[in-house]
Amino acid sequence: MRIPVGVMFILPGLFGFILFFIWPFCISLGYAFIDKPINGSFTGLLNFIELFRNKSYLRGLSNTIRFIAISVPLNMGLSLGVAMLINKMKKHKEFFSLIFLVPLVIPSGSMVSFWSSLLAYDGALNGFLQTVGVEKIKWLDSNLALFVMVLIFIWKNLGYNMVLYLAGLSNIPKDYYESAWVDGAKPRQSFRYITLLHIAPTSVLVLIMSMINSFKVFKEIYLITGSYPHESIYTLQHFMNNMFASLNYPQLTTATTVLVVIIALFAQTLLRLERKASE
Amino acid sequence: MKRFLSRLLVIFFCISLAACNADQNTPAANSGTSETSGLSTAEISGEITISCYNTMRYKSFLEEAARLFEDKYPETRVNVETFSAMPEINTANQDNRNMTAIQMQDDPQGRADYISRVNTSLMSGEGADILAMDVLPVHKYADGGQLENLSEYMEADSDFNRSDYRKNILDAIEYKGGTWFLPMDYTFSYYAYDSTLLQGDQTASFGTGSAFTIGQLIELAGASFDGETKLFNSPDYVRGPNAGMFGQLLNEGYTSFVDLESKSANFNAGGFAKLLETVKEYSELGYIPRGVTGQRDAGAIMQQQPTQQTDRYFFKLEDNFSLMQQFNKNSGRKMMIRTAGDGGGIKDDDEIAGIQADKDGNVPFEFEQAYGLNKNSKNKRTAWAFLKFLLSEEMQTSTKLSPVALPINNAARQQKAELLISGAFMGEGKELDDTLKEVLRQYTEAVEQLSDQINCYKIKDTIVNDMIAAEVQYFFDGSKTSDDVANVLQNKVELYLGE
Amino acid sequence: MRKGADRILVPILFCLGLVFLLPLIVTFTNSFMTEAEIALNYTSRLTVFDLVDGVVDKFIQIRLIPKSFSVDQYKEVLINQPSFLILLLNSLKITLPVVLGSLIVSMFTAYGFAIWDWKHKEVLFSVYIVVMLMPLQAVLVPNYIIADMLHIRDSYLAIILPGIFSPFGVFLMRQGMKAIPPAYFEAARMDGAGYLRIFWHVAVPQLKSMIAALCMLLFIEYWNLVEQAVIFIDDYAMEPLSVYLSRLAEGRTGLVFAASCIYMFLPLWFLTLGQKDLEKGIELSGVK
Repeated sequence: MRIPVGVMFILPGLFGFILFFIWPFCISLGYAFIDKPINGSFTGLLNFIELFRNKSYLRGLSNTIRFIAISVPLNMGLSLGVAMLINKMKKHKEFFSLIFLVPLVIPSGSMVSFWSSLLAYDGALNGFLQTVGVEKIKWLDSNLALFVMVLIFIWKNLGYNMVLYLAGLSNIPKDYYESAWVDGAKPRQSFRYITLLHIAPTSVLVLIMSMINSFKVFKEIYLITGSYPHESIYTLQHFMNNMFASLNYPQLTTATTVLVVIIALFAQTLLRLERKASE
Repeated sequence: MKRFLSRLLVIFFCISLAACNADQNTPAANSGTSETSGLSTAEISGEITISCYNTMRYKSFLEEAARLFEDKYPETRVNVETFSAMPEINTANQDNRNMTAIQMQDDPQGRADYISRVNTSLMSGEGADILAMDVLPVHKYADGGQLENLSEYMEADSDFNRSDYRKNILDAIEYKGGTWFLPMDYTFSYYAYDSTLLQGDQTASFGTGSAFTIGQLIELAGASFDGETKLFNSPDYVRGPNAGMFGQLLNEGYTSFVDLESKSANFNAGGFAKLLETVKEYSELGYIPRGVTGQRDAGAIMQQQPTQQTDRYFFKLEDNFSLMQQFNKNSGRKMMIRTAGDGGGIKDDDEIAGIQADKDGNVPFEFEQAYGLNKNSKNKRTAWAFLKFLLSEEMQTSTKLSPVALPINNAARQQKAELLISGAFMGEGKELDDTLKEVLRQYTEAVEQLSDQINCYKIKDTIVNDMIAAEVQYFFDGSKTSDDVANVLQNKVELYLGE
Repeated sequence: MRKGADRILVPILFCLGLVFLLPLIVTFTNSFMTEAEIALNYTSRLTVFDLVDGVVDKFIQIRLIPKSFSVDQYKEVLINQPSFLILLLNSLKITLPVVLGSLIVSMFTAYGFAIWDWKHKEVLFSVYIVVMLMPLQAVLVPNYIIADMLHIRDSYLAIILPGIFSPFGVFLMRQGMKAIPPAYFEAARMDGAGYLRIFWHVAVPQLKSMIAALCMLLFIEYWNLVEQAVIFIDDYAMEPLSVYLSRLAEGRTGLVFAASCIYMFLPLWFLTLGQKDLEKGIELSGVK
């Protein structure tokens, strides 16, 4: 029995991957079917039904979906815009792309005091507003908090997507634009038919990476507003984090399993889209 | 991640002998009988661990108990684990006065870390055999099945006699049909009133058999309010863990805002906003002193006089330890216990109005020490034996315990009262003469009568309380309205309870 | 014909960039303020003096330029709190093994995917992608369970090992491998080279940018680590600096700035060094 060489190379990594991720996940799955973390009894699908009746979970779910629906397209659009701007520049391309990459590199803990000093009800931003005669605004304590979260997300992740788009843009041969201009096409048309088309494959990847990063913004928000923030920014991660802290493993694994299913479906659709896009 | 609060607890014990008796005897010998266990000593063996957060409160007591227990049952070993940092204690000795200054720091981060550490050990199937319930969320553990139901132990153990202990306390701590922790002691708060300010039929309903809410007292005293003397000595709001008049009213109505058993929150039905407004109203009407928070007029703050020792108040909220002072003042023996800054303490004209009740008429209590038994424990028998040992007369009267706490062991309670009044508890005692015996009798009677009214225990959730404390400060410093605060709290607590 | 465009673009981008850099600039300049000035600026509690002045509402002020330049904060952090350096070391103890380990494991695994001809290998790879997409909180419980079983729960290994076998590295490396024209591999096979040699002499050199990118991204991620450290490490002396910083944030505002600057220095420095490679690597991860 000859083992393909490829398998030999994959094996160590795969083994670790299964050991630390897949197998324990299957074990934790067991928690989803019992009622109490210790000495619990089998309850079948009850946990799943209960989960979708749980108000806090539903809030977290709807907030997460809302957040992703707003922030990811916004991020993609803005980063495309910035990439296009930088792309048009002759000199200093690198300097400017460096600037936008910096937020990605700064550790969250360092920025927390800045953000909370800025956005607190008695923070610098409100101070500024007061001097120009505007009422104080509850940045973190009202429905505006969602937009604040989007802002922080974009600030941190614009650079990443921008680099991806820059690469994609630079692969488009300049002659396409030249010939389009010669043919009398307006800038908007050349944008739609040339740029967007060739950007499509890159966009799919940008979408994936943006989604991953949108989950990561939880860290900053958590450090600024704590475990129980305003209800408009209480996300799935908050829910799961609190479950973990109060050792409610059954509910936590139920939520995780549901999430895995959602993400798997999403990834499937995405990959299919991508295959179509590259044609 | 929260700011450190430092609470200064300065306790001056100053025992001056009015009588010319300069005889200083050594403390009366402790005649406690050690409780024998019904099980033969050979069966109590093994190693157990007992874990608590508050080092200062628990460590020396538990270590002594551990030592004595190990002496009694040579096959056992008891490990004591405490978590918090020891506070600074400075003692000074002047003439025949002892002064002890203890500075405690409130460390919410440390508490949170301890709780999560206990949680994770419980989840891995481990954890200490006995857990002190000073900071841990008992109701959560009970719901999650992490604690043993001690009612079963109490019934099964023929050696354990429920009637040896205060029945109403044991009944009050039952939660969802089980006893999940045993308090070693209890404390309660009562209202004292100034007899020069209230007389006649106003005071007719006062006494050790009565219970009052703040609202009721205000109604009673209303007519006599002259606009000058304050009705209560608690300021409207003290920055920190739900203290001051706000804290008291919150405790009275706690269950109407937060029901931990049914996991519901009810802040925005109007009641909470009303509570906040009421507190403000009280301070504006002059019923209570104003806290510093939220005051805008610098001139007014400057002019506000600090509370004097001679200030009179209609009512004062006191803890049960003040009862000792209450009855001592008539004996010619002065035992002054002063807590700095609020002009409190029992004065000559103070009498007992009634015990503190909540708005449903229920009388709650607190405890200083309570323990639960971990379901994961590998040595439950020994752990239970240790718990019983802690409830024995010998340990319940230990001088390492706080003098304020009342032991739930009936015999021990009596004994401790004796020790306290004779001064033996503090190490400077004398024989009980007739005056002191009378003091003892009155004291015991008052304590027992007041204690008889206790009928409930309020489960508190630190997370909810921290949320309340964090939001309410915005109302008192003027930046948010009461409705705002109520709504924010409703959302947050709902999110939390809903999980 | 677009020369003039530069003149407009540069200022626009510059302004935008400035806004983006503002938090960094503030942290940097504020780290040179004295403790007193920080305390003055970053509090909104009214003092009696404020009331006397007639101030009704007080706000936190973020000043860009310190009134008086001082290195007090840095002194405090580096000299008066020697634990700082220990915590910094802890961060390194976690980050470096993860970066190195993940690099090696990912490269081998990705190479294996490249040369293995199995009809279901894409399915396997999609499992990697799904796990990669999961938020941290979802992955934490499985990590916790296995760490508990292996008795490494209270050690750095509980963080390092899942990091080494994390799917992100495999994903990036695989994309990088795909960018290498198969012609190279074929040519090497023709020459009779063994797979290992091909790996070392063909794949690795081509992947230089990707390697740099992966190192950078992993470094940033694990330098910034907070949740896992809080859960897996009990001993305060063993926690990494990122956790300490986030704890500090609400106490000694003054210290936070200086500590943050020192902490940020490493990743920022790496960024300037490897910017080109980072970009190339991110580019390549987009190749399908």
